[in-house]
Amino acid sequence: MASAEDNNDAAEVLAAVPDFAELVPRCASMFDNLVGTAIWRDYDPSQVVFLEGEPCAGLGFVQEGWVKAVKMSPSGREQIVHLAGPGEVLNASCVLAETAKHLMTVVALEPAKVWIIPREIVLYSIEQCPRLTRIIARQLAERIQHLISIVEDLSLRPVEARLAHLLLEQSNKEVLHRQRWATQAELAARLGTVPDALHRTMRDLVKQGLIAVDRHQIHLLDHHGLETKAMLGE
Amino acid sequence: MPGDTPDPFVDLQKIPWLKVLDQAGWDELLAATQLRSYNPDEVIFLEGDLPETFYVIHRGWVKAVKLSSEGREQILDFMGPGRPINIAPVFAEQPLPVTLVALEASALWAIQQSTLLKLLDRYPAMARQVIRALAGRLLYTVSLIEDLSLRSVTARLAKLLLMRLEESGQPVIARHRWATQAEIAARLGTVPDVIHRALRSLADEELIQVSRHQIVILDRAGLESKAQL
Repeated sequence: MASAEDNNDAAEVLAAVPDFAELVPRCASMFDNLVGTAIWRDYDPSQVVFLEGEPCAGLGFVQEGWVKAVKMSPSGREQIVHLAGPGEVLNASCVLAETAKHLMTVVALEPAKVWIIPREIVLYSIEQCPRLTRIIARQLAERIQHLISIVEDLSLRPVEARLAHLLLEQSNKEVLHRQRWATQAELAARLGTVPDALHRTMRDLVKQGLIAVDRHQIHLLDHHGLETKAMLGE
Repeated sequence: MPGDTPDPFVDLQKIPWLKVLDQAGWDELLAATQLRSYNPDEVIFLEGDLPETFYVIHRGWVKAVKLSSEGREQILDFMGPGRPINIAPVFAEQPLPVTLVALEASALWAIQQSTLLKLLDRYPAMARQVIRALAGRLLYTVSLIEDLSLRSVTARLAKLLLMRLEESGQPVIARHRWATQAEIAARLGTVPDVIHRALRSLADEELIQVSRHQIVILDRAGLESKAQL
């Protein structure tokens, strides 16, 4: 069980989620209620956090570390649908959907600490504080938009364009720090391809002088060239 | 249609999250509702537009699409009578993520976003139902990703046929005039040739029977195993 001190952590994590910060002044008692019922768990790398098809554990918040949400094919191939890091919300769909089952399997990519608020508490709170509805609606709508962009990538862009798009999206001032778990296999599963194809594509971008790759980071050398590759044009 | 004045209430009362409204709520909603007509291929709204309007289809079919820079299209959904459109962007106040195009002569009920947001604040019970509808859309979008990335075209086609079977409850699926192989290909993320071959292979295996105006499902269990469900 979490101690009172731990739950100060939970309050901090929740208040740091951009939209949830709005709740603190508006629905203070409800916010306390959410925080008070939250429990946390630690996960090792590769450990399963939630399993697709299982009853919904509750709304998750990542405090530390990165996790991935994946769909598996019957043959075991995986498609990463979502990567979540500190401050991000997990499971919004299973908490709110009628089926109340985990939609995807969530796996820790590195040591991770995840807070979980029971499903019933979240549903009860929605009725107590209508403001929360707008927040959750916005979260869901943003998630849907992100998912639609993945559909678009998979269907309308070749692997090279998907990779260029991802690099542009994730980079910070022309440098993309590679997380330890961001292997080519993981990147391939995110982009809906296989490691071989990803490796070749990465090498092509290097040869064309668009990026430079070393062990820990990827440098974007030609932002404009990458934008062309990403087929972002109107 | 001369002399035929459709009543918006007939279509709107079927939307689960509007059922919580009382008389005053309905009066306000219906006052902000108008019927708009579209021709085949007419664009109803564009990706990136502001979410000023929520729609419910009264008559006809429409498609939600994403266009690539060189004009290829991915259809996210075909939608027919009774279907609500734009729930997520309207309540989240986000730009529209897709373009909507009429597939045939269609009429849609258009409701102002501002009216819905006001009602949401006044009727908290609406909230839970709205969120449930949103979660349903999210599930659907994840299933699209799963299909594109992890299922073969034949499996995607089998799944689409089973979905239609589920909707209509009948093993005979009527083909709309607009449901060409090109449209089905754009929905399943492939090209018409591949759809043609996939249809033929399902027919050769006697899982379906294809004719000009309809597809008959002969072996549901066989299709389910093809669909890798």
